[in-house]
Amino acid sequence: MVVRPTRQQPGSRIDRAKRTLAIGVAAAGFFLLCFVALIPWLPTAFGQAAQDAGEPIAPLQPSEATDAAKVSLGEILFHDARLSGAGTVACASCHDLDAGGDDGLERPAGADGKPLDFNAPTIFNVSRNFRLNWRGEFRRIEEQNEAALLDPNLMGANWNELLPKLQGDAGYVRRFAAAYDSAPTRDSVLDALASFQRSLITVDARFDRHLTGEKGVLTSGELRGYELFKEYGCIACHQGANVGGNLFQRFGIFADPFADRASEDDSDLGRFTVTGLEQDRHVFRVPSLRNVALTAPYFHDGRTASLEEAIGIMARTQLGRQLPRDDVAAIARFLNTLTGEYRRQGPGEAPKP
Amino acid sequence: MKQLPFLAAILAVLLVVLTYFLAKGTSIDAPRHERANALQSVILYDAELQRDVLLGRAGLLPNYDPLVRSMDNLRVAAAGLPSDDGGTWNAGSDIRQKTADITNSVAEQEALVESFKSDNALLQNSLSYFNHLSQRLTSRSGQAGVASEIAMVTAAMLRFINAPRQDLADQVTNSIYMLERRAANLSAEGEVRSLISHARLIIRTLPRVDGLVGSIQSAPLGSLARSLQGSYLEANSRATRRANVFMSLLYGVAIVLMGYVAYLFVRLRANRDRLKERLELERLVAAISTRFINLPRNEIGAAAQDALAHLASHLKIAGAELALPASNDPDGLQHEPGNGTTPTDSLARLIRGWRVEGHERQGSVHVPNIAGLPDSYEKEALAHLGIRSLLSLPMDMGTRGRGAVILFHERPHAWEKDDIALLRTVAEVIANATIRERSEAEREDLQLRLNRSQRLEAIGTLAGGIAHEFNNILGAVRGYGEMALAILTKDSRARRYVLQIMKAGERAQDIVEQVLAFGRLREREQKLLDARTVVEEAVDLVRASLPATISLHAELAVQDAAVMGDRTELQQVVVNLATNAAQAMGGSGMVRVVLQTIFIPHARDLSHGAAQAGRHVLLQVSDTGPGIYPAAMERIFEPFFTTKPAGKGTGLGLSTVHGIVSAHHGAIDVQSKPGQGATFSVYLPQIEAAVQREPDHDRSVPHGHGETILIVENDEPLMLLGEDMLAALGYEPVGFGHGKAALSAFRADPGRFDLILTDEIMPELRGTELASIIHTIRPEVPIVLMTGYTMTLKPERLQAAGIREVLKKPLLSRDLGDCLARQLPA
Repeated sequence: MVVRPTRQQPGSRIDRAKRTLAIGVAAAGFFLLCFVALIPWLPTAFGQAAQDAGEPIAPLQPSEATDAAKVSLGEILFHDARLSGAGTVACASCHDLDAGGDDGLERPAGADGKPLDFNAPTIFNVSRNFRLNWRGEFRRIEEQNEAALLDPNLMGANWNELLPKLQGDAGYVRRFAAAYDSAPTRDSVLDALASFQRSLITVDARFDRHLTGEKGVLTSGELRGYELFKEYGCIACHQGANVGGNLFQRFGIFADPFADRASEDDSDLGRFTVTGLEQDRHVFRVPSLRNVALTAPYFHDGRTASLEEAIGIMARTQLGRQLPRDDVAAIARFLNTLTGEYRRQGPGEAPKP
Repeated sequence: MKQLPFLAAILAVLLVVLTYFLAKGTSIDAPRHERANALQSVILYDAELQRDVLLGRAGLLPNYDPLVRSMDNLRVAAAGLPSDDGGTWNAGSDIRQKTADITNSVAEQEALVESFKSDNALLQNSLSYFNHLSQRLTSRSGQAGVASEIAMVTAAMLRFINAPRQDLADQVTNSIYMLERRAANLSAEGEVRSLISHARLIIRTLPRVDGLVGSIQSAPLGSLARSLQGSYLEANSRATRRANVFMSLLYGVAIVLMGYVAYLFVRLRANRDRLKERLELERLVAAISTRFINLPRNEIGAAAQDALAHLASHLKIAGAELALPASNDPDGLQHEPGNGTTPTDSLARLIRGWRVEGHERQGSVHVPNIAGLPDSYEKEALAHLGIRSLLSLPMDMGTRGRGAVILFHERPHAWEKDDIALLRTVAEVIANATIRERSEAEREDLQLRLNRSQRLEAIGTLAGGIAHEFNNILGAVRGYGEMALAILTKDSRARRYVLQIMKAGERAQDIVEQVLAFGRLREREQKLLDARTVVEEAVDLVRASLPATISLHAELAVQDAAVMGDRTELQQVVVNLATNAAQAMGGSGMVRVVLQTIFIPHARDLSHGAAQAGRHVLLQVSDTGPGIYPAAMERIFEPFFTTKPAGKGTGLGLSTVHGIVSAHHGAIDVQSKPGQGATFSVYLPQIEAAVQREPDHDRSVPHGHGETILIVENDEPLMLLGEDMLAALGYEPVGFGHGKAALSAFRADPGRFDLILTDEIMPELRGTELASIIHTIRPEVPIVLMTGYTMTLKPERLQAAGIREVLKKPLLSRDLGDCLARQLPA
C-alpha cells in the first residue's frame, strides 16, 4: 500500500486567507496613498465642476501666493504720500481700504482743484478685471499705476524726484534690498505696488459661500434678488467671478442716460476717447459688482449714491425695463451679499520718515 | 622647439572648430522649445476661444470669464512667439512675417471678441426676455386685442432667429409695426413697448452677432498658427539635420583625435623602446671605450674584433668589419682575418673610396637599402655578398690613413642618426687604439734600429780608427820588409822568414781595407752606373766561385736602373751577399738575385735603416738556408760578428756591405724566419736623369692586327687624335667622350674589346675608377692609363685597378705602339 504524503495541511487554508488579507490591506493602503496624494488637486477639480454647473457667477479665488516682502513693501508705498509730487496724496487717499477701496466721492478733486473726469473705482479685486479704469485703457496694474503716479493732475510725481526720495530713506532701502536685492527702481516700485494690489481680493462674500454649497447663508429675499438679477438680464453683463469687469458695454441701450444733461463731458464718451472708433461711443468697461454696497456713489460720474437708484438707472437704460420697487429692493439685497472680506497679508508698517 | 607655436596654433584652431561644432550641434535650445510651446498654446487657446464663442452665441456659456481667460492666454502665447529668432532658425522673413500676422490676427480676434461679448450680452438678454415676455403677453387673456399681433411677431421672430435673413427681418419689422399701431391705446403699453424694443434690438443685433461669430470662426489665426508651426517644424527639422551634421563632425573629430592619441601612445612606446635600446647601446659603447683604455698593445687587434662582434650581435645585424690602413702604407689595406661571414678584404676594398650620392655624411656612408641605389658596380658586388644594407663609419687615423668600421646586414636596415653618432665613437675608439698600437710599435722599432745604427756607428769609428793606425803600422812593416828582402840573399832562411812576414802583412792589409770600408773611411769614386751591368758582372764572378751543388738564379731584366756610385764597391756588395747566402746554406740550395726598380710613396722603415720616399733600385738576394735567428739579427752587420766556425770567415763581409750601402745613401732590409731562408734587400736611390735614353728613331714601330681598342678621353680633339693614331697603327679604335658611356658599352659586350685605353682625369668617373670596374668584370683585359701626372698615381692603386701600364701624355705614336705591342703580343 502506497501512503501518499498529505501535503494538504490544515493550516494552509489559514495561510491563504492571511495572504489574501495582506494583499487586500496592501491594495487599500496603496489606494489610500494615491488618494492622499490626490488631495491637493481635489478642490480645483470640484471647483471646476461647480463653475461648470452653469451658475453665471463664480466665487472669487483668493490671490495667488505672492512674495510677502513685496506685498508689505507695496502696502507701505501705497500709503505713502511721498509718492505724489507734492507729497500730499497717497494711493490710499482715493482708495481707502477701510471704505470699500474708494473714496466715497462722486469725483475726487484733482491737483488743479477741479473734480476729476471719473469716479474713483474700488481698488479691491482690481486684478480680476480684464481691463482697468472706466474706459479700460490699461491692461496691467503697473501701467495704470505709473500713469496715475505721473499724471500731473493725479499724483504728479516723476521718477527723477521720486526714486532719490525713496533711495534716501533707510527703511525703504532696507526693504527694497530684502525684497528685490536692489535699491528702489522704477520697476521695483511698480512691482511692489502691483503685488500689493493683486493681494487685495475680497473673499468669502456670503454669496460666494452660497455658491460653494454652504447652506443657509442667504435669506430667501436675497435668493429672490439673485433670481431677479438673472431674470431681468442684469446677469447678461454682470457675470463671472467678478460679477462684471470682463467686457465692454455701451451705456444706454434702450434709453439715453445723458438725456438730462445740458452737454456731454468727454468722460461720457467712454472708450471713444481712447480708440476714436464710433462704435466705442459711450462704451465703458462693465464695472464689477463685488462690494458694490460699499462703493457708492455709482457710475463713471458718480451720478447717484443710492444703490436702488443705480439699479433703476441700469434697468431703464440697459434693459429697457421699469422695475417694480420690490424687485429693486430684492436685487439690492442680493447685491449686498457680494460684499467680501479683505484679509491683510502680514503686518504692514509705514517706514518712519 | 620650433614646433611649439605651430602646435599652439593647431590647438587654437581645433578649439575654435570644436566650439563652433558644439554651438551648431546643440541648436535645439530651450527658448525655441518655449516658442514652439507658445505656438501650440496659440492653436489650443484659439480652439478654446472658438468653442466658447459658439457656446456664448448659443447661450450656453455661464459667463465671459472663459473668453477673457482664453483671450489673455492667446495674447500671452502670441507675445511668446519668436518675433526674432536670434539667427538660429535661419528661416528668414517667412517665420517673422507669419509671427507678425499671428500677432495682428490675435489683436483683430480680440476686437471681434470684445464686440461679440458686448453685443451677445444684449442679444442673449433680449432673446430670453423676448421669449419670456411674448409667452406671458400671449397667454394673458386681457390682451386679446394684441395677442394675434404678438403671436405674429413671435412667429416671425422665430423664423428670423432660425434664419436671420433680411426678408424675414422685414417681416418681423412689419409685424412689429402692426403691433405698435394696435398697442398704442392699450393698457399694457409698457410691457408691449419693452417687447417691441427688445424685438428691434434682436433684429438689429442678431445678424451682427452672427457676423461676429462668423468672423471669429473664420479668423485665420488657426491656419496661420498651423502654417507657422509647419514653418517652425521645417526650420526645426532643418536645424536638427544641421545639428546632426555637426554632431557627426564632432564625432568624426573625436574619432580622429582618438586615433591621434592612439598614434601618440604608440609613438611614445616606440620612443621609450628606442631610448632603452639606445641606453643599452650607450652602455655597450661605454664598455668598449673603457676596455680600450690602457689595453696592452698586443691585445688591441683582438679587442677590436671582439668589440665589433659584440656590436653586431647587439644590433642584431649580420656583421661588423674593420678596414684598417696597412701599417706600412696609409693608402693600402691591412689584411684582417675578419669574423668569417664576409671576405673582409673585398668588402673593405669595395667601400673604400665609394661615392654614394645622398648617403654620405661627415665621411660615413649609410645605405639603408642597397637595392634602392642606382645601378653600379658596388651595388652588384654588395648584392653578390648578400649585403642589403650597410653603414660605413670613418676612422680618421691622420697620417696613418683612413680606415672604416663597416656594419652590414642581409636585410634592408636603417640606422638611427643618434645610433650612428654613438657608433662613430666606437670607430674613433678603435681608430685611436690602433693609432696607439701602431705608434708604440713604431717607437719601439725605431728605438731598436737607433740602437743598432748607433752601435754600428760606434764600432765603425772604433774599428776605423784602429784600422787607420794599423794601416800605418802595416805600411812600416811592409816597407821595411821589402827593403829587407832586397838585401837578403836568395834561399836564405832569413829571406824565407821575411817573405812569410810580407804575406801576413798583405793579409792584414786586406782586413784593414775591409774594416776601413765598413767604417766608410775608404775613398770611392761616384759615377753614374747602370746597376744591371754591375750586378750581371758580379753575379758572373760569384757563379764561378760557387760549388755545383748551389744554383744561382738571377732576375735582372730591369731598365733604367741607374745609380750613382763605385762600380767595385757595388760589385763587392753583390759578391759578399751572394757568398754569404751560399755559405749560409751549407752544402746545397738556391741563391736568388733579383734586381728591380721600385717606387716608395712614403718613407719606409726597414730592419736596418729607412728607405726614403721616391724611386729606388732594389737588389734582393735571398737564400733557402736555415734563416737568421733573432739574436743574430741584432748584430748581423757588426764587424767580426760571425756564426761560422772560427777560421772559416773574418766576420767582415756583411759589415762591409753595410758600410758600402750606407755610403751610397742606400738602406738594407733583412727579412728572415728561422728555417725559411733569408732575404737581404738593398735599396739604392734611382737616378731619374738616367731614365732618359736616346730614343732610337730608326727602329720601326710595331703595328697591330686590327684589335679593337676602347679609348676614353673627355677632351674631344685628343680623343680623335688618339683614334687616328690607333687606326694608323693598325688597330680598330672605339672612342668615348666620358667614362659612363664607355662603361655601358663595355657592359653591353665585355668580350668585344681587346684593350682599354683610358684617360685618368675625367669628370664623374675617373680613369682608375673605370679601370677597377672593368677589371672586376673582365680581369684579363689589359688596361692602359694615359695621364700627364704620373707622380700622383700610386702603384698600389694602379695595380688594384688592374692597370698594366701608364702612358705619359702627350701621347706619342712610338710610345703608344710599343706599349700596345707589349700588352697585346701577337
